Parts: sequence; C-alpha cells; structure tokens
Amino acid sequence: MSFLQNMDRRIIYIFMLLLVSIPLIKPLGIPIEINYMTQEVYDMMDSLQPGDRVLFSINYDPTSAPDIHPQAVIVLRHLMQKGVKVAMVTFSASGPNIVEQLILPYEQEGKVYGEDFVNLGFIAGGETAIRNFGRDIIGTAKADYRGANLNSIPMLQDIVDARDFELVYVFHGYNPGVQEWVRQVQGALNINLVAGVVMVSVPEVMPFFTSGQIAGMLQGLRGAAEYELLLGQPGSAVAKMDAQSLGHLVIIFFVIVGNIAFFLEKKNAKK
Amino acid sequence: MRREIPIAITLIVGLTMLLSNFVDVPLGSEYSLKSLASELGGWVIIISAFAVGLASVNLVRIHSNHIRRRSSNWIYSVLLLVFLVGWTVMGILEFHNPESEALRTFSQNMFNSILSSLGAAMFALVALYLASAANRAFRVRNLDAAILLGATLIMMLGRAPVGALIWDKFPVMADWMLSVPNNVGQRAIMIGAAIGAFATSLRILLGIERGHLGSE
Amino acid sequence: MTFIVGTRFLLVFSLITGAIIFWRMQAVRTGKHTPQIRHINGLDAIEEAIGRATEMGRPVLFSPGIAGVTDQSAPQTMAAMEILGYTTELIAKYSTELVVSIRTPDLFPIAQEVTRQRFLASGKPEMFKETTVQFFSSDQFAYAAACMGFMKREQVAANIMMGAFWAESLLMAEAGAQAGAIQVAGTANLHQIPFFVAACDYTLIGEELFAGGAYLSQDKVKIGSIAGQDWIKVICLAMLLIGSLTATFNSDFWQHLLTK
Repeated sequence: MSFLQNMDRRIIYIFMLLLVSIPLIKPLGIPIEINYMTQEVYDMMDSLQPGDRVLFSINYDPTSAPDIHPQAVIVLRHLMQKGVKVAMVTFSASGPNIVEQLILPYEQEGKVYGEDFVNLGFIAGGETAIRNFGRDIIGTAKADYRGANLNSIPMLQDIVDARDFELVYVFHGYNPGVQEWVRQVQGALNINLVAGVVMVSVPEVMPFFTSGQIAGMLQGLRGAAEYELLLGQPGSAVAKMDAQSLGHLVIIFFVIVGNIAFFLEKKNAKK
Repeated sequence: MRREIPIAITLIVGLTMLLSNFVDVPLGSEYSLKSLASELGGWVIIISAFAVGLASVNLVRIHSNHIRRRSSNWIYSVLLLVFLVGWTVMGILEFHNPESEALRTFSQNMFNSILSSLGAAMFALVALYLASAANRAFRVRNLDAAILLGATLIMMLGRAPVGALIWDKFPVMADWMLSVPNNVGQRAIMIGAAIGAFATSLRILLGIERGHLGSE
Repeated sequence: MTFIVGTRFLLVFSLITGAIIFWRMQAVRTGKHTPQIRHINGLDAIEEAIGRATEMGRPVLFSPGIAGVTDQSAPQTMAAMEILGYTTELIAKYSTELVVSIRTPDLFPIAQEVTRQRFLASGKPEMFKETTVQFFSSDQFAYAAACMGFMKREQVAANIMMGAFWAESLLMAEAGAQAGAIQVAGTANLHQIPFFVAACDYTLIGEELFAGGAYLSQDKVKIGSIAGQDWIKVICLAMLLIGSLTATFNSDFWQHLLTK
C-alpha cells in the first residue's frame, strides 16, 4: 500500500503524458456543452456592426498563451469577419510579438494595417499605465509598435479615451489584467468591459462578473473551444478539449488511488 | 539621517501619487499634481532600468565565478551568459533599425521558436505537478478535507467536457459553486487583503514599517 | 483644486480608513488598548524550518514573490521583506546558509540591504555574501525554473515563499516537496492559495501575510494598526449590508454615493 501512497511521480507523469497526447493525435469527439457565459460574449460580439471599433488589451505572455491565446485568435477572427476594427495594446513586455502573430494572417489576406487593425505596442508601468492609457489613449501610447504617429492612423481618428471604443476586451493571463482595468478605467469611465481569463484566474475574476463590472467572460481554453463551436469554425481549442478531459480524469484517478491506499493502510494499522 | 531621509522621500512621493488619484492641484502655470505624478511614474521606469543593470551585474558575476571555478554544471552558466549577451545585442540592434525586415523576422522567430516554446513547456509542467501534488496531498483525513476534495472533483468534472457525459448536473453544480460559495470566499479574502495592503502601505509611508530599509 | 470624477467617496473612505488605523495605533502606543494577535502557525514555523536546515546542514531558500516594489502587489513584496528580515536574523542565530532568489530587478538592492543590515545587526556581517541575494531572471518561468533547479541541486532543507505569486507557485512548491524541504508559503494572490495549501506544510492566507511584520516583531504600534484593520472590516460589512438592502428595495442611492 505504501507504494500507492507514495507513488513515484514519474509514473504519474507518464500516465498524464500518454493520456493527454493520445486525443491530440486521434480526437475522441467528446461533445462540448456551451456555457451561458460564452453564449453571452458571443452574442455581444455578434451584435457589433461593421466599422465599430473594439480595443483588445493583450495581458498575457508566451507562458500563459496556451490557455488564453486561442481565445484571442477566435474572437479576432469573428470581428475581422464582421468588419469590426480592432486596436490592440499590451501591458506585457512580450505582448507586441503576440499581437504581430495575431494580425499576420489578416495582413496576408489583404486587410489593411491602420484601417482594420493596429498594434499599439507595449506600454510600461503596469496599473498606472492602464489608468493613463484608458483615460488618454493617444497621449499615453503616442506611437504604434511600427513607429507611426497615432494621429496618422485612420481607425484611431476621434479616439480620446476608452469610452470611444464599443467595448474593451481584456485577455488576462496575469496581472496587470482585468482587475486593474476594472479598478482604474471601468469604474471611472463606465466602459463596456469584456474579459477572457486563464482558467486558474476565473474564481478570482468571478466577483467582478457577478457584480456586473465585467459584461462578459470567457473561461480559458474551454471558453475558446465553445466560441469556436458557436462561430461554426472548430479549431485548435476544440481539438485540445479531449486532452483536457482526459487530463482531469488522470488527476482524479490518482487522487482516488491515493485515498484508497490511505484508507487501507489506516485499516491495517488498526489491526 | 540615514533613515530619516529615505522615510521623508517615501512620505512625499507616496502622498503625491496617492492624492493624484483623487484631486488635481495646479502647481504654477505649467505643472499640476497630475503632471508631477506622471513625471514620478517616469522616474520609476528609469530607476527600474538601473536596477536591471545592477541585477544583471550580480547575475554575470555569480555565473562568471561558476565558470572560473568550474563548479558543477558550469556549462549552464556559459549558456546563460551567451544568451544574456546575445538577446541584449539583438534587442539593441532591433531598436536602432526599426525598418529592418530581417531583424524583425529574426526576432519574431527567436520569440516563436525559443521563448514561446520554453514558456509553454513550463506552463504545461503545471499539469504534471498538479497531478503529483494532488496524489500526495488530497487525503480524506477529516471532514474539512472531504469537503475540499468533493469541491475539487465537482469543479474538475464540471469544467471538462467529459464531466457532462458522466452526469449532466456536474457543469450546473460547478457554475453554482463558482458563482456562490467561491464569490463569498473570494470577496471576503479580497476585502481583508485590500485592507491589509492599505494598512501596510500606510505604515510604510509613515516610516513605521521599515523592514525594506534593512532595519526595524 | 479639482476633484477627479468618481473618486470623492474613495478619497473620504481612504481618509477615514487612515484615521482609524492611526487612532488605533495611538491607542496602543499610549497603553489604552492592548490587542493580541492570534497565533499564525505559518510564521511560527519559520524557526522550525531554519532549525531543521541547520541540523541537516543544507541551505534555506527564500523567495519574495515575483512582484515588484512599484505595482499594485508591492505591499505583498514589502510584507515579504519584513519576513525576510526576521528570517535573516534567525539564519544568523543558527549560522545556516540563506539564499534569496529575486525576480524583479528593483527588489534586488532592497533585498540585499535587508539581509546585509540584519546580518550586521545580529553581529555576523561576514555571513552576508555575494551569493546571499541572487537575481535569477526577470522572466516569470525562467525564474521559477531557476528556483526549481536550485532546490533540486542544493537539496534545500527549507523553502520559504512569501509575497505575490502567480502560476509558478505550484511549480516551486512541488519542486520543494520533491527536494524534501519543509515549506512555508504566504500570498494574498487568492487564486494561488489553493496550490500552496495543497503542496506546502504551512500557508499564510491573504492578510496574514500583511500581519507578518507586526506579528514577528510584536511591535505595539504595528499591532495597533492590525487592530485598526478589524474596525475597517466592520465598516465594510456595514457598507455591504446597506448596499444589499438598498439593492433589494431597488434603490440606487448607495450605488450613486459610492461612485460620487
């Protein structure tokens, strides 16, 4: 029993690797239910009109990207298909490269930089930067990532503060992220704020959703998968959900095994 | 004076930054409290940049010593220094040649092929470590542990698509747990922690808490 | 002077909060009130952890989180510095090796100063070495990897993690468990607390971290400020109650007042 109680962690790792890898190679097709929160976000995005402007705040880096990047990809695709213009800013040092990754496919297919989307680059200063940017966009960012003066960017004409966008979508991998936007901008300017959050931060962000400070919330990779299904374009997030299901089952299995061993050992000790 | 001057600077700068969140006061014809706070925000970035230099010197000295002494795993210290210098040089070149497509592509490739891959690999390790930590730590020793384990299982099954296949109430239960008990706990801890942070900041501003200055 | 829209209530509330904390500190200072802080097992366990490291002849790793000293998580980092000071004194007392791992460069000189001064005050300035405070990396996961590697290579006997942690928390705590270290952690980052609870021997939850400086020093004025925090909590509870009641009766009076 002590073997099961103190199982070599490498056995657990091998199990996890195998069971997560198999569905990535051969998907199992486990059906995915659409959560009401995802439906709300989808409806909100779908109600935007061609020519509307949306601000993306990319608050994640390559490390948290596996859980949150698919959300940014699919929401951007939806908005590009609808002809909505998207400005993207980042408060993470590696964010500008992520934004370049996001816009590359649309640049290649003929959408115009500066008219359909723009990379406002990285703004240093964390929470203070979010506060300043939300209240004075042109004055804080000054130039875009490619060095152009923001006054010369067509899609940013008449933009003063965050209220001039139909909505602000914060993709939150870590702080500064949603909470800073709520504290510094949403409360003061009463903007329409939507959040995409890594799964581990969902419990922490939930109070802001139920209080109405965040109008909608997508939850991690699962949220991206549900969004892909709603858009009718299943992609990488849907493909990874089977792996996530099996990953969860592996953890539950080992918790149960550990507890069975624990109880049997306790029983033996009593004898 | 060695203690008084830093405390006085802390108080003045702290109050300036704090008040600038609530009021704007004109300071002469050109400046205001807001612009002063903004200026101080710029100083933070400059001081942080100097701190990067200081920290990098520490890194270089420690790893140079490893190499000189041929300590165990010294080869990793060589790799660290090579990448530290290489990445810095690339950043400087890119900054001074913003028009260079080759440099931008090279930088993007380094980002995608090295930084992203390493970052994703580290993030993925969380899943493995979570499995081994759960196997070791989640024992039903008492009622509290049983409740904790029960909540964990419901959340995990409620969030993974397979949970709904097993029992269609798992997602509903997970949503309820997230919206009700979770919110209660999160708000309580959040309020307590925010008040704690406020009190700590106040003690620092008043010079009562001076652990960061190296003395009681 | 112009008020920034939507911040008047915050200003008034901040002033009231500050005044209450100040009032309680004065009450304790003048002896009118002598509050007691309950035992915080996590903080008591630091000495046990360092004692164990001394017996085993292995180092102690102290990680003050990955936040800086200028962002919204700075109070956590500052609280961690208080605990680092106490830890350094114990390290000097037991003559054990301490390594402080740093992620944010601006914390590096502060951590150096804290440890240097405390070793000096403990009469053992020679214990402060160039390797006592080490900058590992400013990248979150590179920092975590460096800590994990250090714990494994040096087989640390005690791993103390105090401050603001994010996704690296479990990686570091699990690496510490694998190295067989006794682990004491504390953070006010709510979403990381479950990981620490699962993987560490002792965990400080939320505001317990901020009470660390007062608890460890037993400084009367600091304890007074902790007592003041309880008063503010009562006010917050009353505000929540008023908010709930007014919302129940469809009144937006309270909401308007808060956003004034």
